[in-house]
Amino acid sequence: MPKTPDAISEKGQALYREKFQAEYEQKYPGKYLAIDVNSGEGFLADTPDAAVEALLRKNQHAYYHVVRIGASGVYRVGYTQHAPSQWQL
Amino acid sequence: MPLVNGSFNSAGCPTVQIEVSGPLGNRFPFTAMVDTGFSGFLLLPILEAFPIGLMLQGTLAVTLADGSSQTKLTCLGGVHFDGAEEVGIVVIEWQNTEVLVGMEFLQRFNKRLVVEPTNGVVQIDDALAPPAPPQPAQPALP
Repeated sequence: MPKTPDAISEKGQALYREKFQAEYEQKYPGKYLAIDVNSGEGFLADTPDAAVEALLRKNQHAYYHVVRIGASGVYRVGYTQHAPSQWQL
Repeated sequence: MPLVNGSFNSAGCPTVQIEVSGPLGNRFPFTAMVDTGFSGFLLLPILEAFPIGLMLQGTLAVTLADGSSQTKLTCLGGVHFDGAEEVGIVVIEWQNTEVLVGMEFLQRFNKRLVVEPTNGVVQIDDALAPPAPPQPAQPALP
């Protein structure tokens, strides 16, 4: 089970590429997908919080990764930083 | 029209008072910078997130100003503002930065931001009603 933010993100991105990307980028561009990185199940919604809420209703203890379909990031921020983020959950 | 007054921080950026709550229900007050360059709901430094009891179990990528991406921890959290509460995605910043509310905050609370640096005015009030759709032209009366 991935337990660092980077590992959760990498597992989520791998699941997205394998299971969802080809179909969802055709059908649901701009929508949000929350992926349970343990089960591989995805929850699609119009907003990121709605996708996460649907996922947590199924498994409130799940580790998850959120993707904005067809975009490099879910949100944009106005700053730049390149510091490492190596935590253990 | 309900109106919330904010203020400028020492860097000259607009700020407002909010409260944040997690699954434990306790509200924690913060002075949050209103950052229209942030498309999200709320960004919190990690040291502020722990006392609230936020469940840090998600990740997402954010796009930085230079176009690169960076992974962030996330969770769901409640923001209390102007007598209302909205639950949304909280982006957790591992460095000790300012608390930010972004465009999704204004959208979710249906607010607009008015900033007048020259007069020291920071106001958040209700969003204007959407403009009426254009009406078809009426034929001229004889």
